Amino acid sequence: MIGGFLASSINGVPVFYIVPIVIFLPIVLFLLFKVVGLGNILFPPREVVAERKRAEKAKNEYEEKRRQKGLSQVRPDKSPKSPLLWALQAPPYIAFAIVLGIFSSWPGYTYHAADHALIKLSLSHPGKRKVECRKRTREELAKLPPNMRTPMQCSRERWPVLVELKVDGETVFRQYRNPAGLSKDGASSFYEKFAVPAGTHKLNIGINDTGGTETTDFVLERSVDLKPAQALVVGFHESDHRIFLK
Amino acid sequence: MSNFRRPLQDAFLLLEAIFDKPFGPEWNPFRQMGTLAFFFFWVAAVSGIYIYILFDTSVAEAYQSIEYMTYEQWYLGGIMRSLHRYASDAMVVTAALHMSREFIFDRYRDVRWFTWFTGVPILWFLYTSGISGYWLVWDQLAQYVAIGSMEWLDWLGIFGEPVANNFLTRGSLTDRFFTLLIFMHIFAPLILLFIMWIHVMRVAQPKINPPRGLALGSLLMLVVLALVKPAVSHAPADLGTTPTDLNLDWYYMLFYPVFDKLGPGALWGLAIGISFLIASLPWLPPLRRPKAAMVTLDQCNGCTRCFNDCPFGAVTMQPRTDGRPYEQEAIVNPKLCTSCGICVGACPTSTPFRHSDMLVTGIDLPDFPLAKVRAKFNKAIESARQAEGPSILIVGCDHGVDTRSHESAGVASAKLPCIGMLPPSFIDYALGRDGADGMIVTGCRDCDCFSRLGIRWTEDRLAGARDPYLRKRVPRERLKVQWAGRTDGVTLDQAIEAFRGELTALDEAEAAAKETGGTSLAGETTPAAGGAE
Repeated sequence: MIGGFLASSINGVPVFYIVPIVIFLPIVLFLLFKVVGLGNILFPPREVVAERKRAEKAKNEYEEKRRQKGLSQVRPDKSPKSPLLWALQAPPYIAFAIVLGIFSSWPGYTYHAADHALIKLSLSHPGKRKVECRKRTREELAKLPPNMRTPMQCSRERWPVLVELKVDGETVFRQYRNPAGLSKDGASSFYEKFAVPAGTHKLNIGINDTGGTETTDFVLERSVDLKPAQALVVGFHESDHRIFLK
Repeated sequence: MSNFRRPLQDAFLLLEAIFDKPFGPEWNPFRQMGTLAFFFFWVAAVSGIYIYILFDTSVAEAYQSIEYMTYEQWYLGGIMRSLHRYASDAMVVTAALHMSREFIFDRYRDVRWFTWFTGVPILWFLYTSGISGYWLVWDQLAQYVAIGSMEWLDWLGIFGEPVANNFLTRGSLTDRFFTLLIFMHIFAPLILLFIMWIHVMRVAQPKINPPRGLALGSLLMLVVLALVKPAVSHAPADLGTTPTDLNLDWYYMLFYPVFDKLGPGALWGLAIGISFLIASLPWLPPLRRPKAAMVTLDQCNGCTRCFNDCPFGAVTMQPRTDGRPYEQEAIVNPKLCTSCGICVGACPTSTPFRHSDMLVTGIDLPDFPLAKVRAKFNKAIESARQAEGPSILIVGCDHGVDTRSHESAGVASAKLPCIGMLPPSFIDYALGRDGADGMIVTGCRDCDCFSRLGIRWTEDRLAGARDPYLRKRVPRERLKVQWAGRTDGVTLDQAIEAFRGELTALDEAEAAAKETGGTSLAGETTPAAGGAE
């Protein structure tokens, strides 16, 4: 019941995302406003505002009286006066500028070796339903409220998806990913990066979305010529159910 | 904990002493790190507004518009771009130094927890602001940083589709998504500014602007840096390739190589762990401070001086509750009080010229009452007068030079929680009949009061510029002000020796004047702390 509610959506926004906000936001706001004291800062009570105004007025009157008596606040000037001291300030400024200038772009960082290419495995694919859909009988439909009489009855939970990537016959990635969602009815997502030396490589990508261990549900085997620093994306077209390289 | 801080404090004090020479105490950048961070924020904001005018917000043209600024309009757009970058970098440096300094000098616990605590979201939004700015250049560095940032966010699993997919292939980054990034770079600094405002809310009379000279010097430094080493872009971003060699801005991108090495989960752990650790430092362990100041209502006439002088806004004024013929009365919020005693020094009823059982002031520290201060003064004066020659009373504070270690024959000391606790009438008392021959007022280093405003108010009171002021009858030539930090023992020793010589000369001159019936030299010497009424 609760699981079903959480898995539903309101105006396209999944309840799963809304519930934590509804629960935690008041708690966070309570902590911020009452414990941290943000409430008193942002929305001070009326008497505090009145008190501040009165205090400000008193302070101004006090300062005014002192001004009239020629006693207004005189801060001793502690700033450097001599040009020699100003000149002596140059080295610290220069040192700070050097530190700023240098570390804003040095030392260099090699993120990716220049003679290597990058294979990005980025796909999002829902596994098959754990229980296949079946057509409801007339009796079953009659028992349901009118607004819920969909002809097909489908289980929500899907199989985890297994993806395997082989480069030149060597397995560089093989992992199951669970479906997203509390009811495990979403897509399984993969986002992985592999650096390979530039040149020709034989790629073999296999997907299993039916709960098995063999990656034979979808397969793509192709030889690719990768240039240095090239980024090759391995993805899955959901519309025509095929693995693609781009 | 404090022992662990000691060598770090010494290092800072040494550096600051070096900087004190050319900059003077007020302009010393180490004491202005917070205000400098504010200043660099404004430089980045103003330069950012100019850049935005010339910036093309489409993916295809963003890079070219920045190249135009950098090369075609280098004299203004290029300088603005470099100012934008270097001011942002400088803000990271000054914020980090500001935070380190407050930690090392133990100015973050107890009532200061709020200011410290709100510094943590400032760091997060400072980084969000800076990093999101780098995305907009849309060069290879932007590509690296943007993809890294999105991969890091994707690890949370809160997005239906990985956000990093927006950067997957040529053409996958849309103008719509790019506009979102631009808005992030506008809103993050606005939130940052809002939190910076919250950050200083609990501090009375917060300083958010550096002295004008220091601000001008810093701006000039940034402009020169912008001309000497203008900020430039990498090659344009190309999602069909992957960036290889990059010149990272280490002030903002230190964590990206860590991300590459350890992965997003570890970096989240690190970022959240460090944030929690920093945020919880004020309670590790909590500061045990003496009891908060208390108001004795029958001595309080509602003059507002304690209210005006409290550095943490712990004293407020409220309508009179005891029916006495005054408009207001002071009230102390113990949660905001640091027990520095500045309010005691500000109270006009804090006078030692009373009988012991009458020595009650309008506002006092329960653990260090005014009666105890006078007893300390009496003991120290008596001790100093035991020896031959001029007797000197040194009055210091708990956070500056240790005055006890400078006691010698004829020199005795008394310490207060903060020098701002010293009511000027106590100087009158100490230098009066049966008092000491001279008095040295010391505390923390100049412009570096642990309690923020103690030195400032003391100077103003001695100069007759702030109530309660030092009475005119007090011989200024017998009063010396020598600010000295914990490591400035030599400076204080030299001041004591010089002062001893001055006092000896004064005594001799006065004795000679008495004999001849002439005028004293006293009137010819320079007052130690300015004139007074």
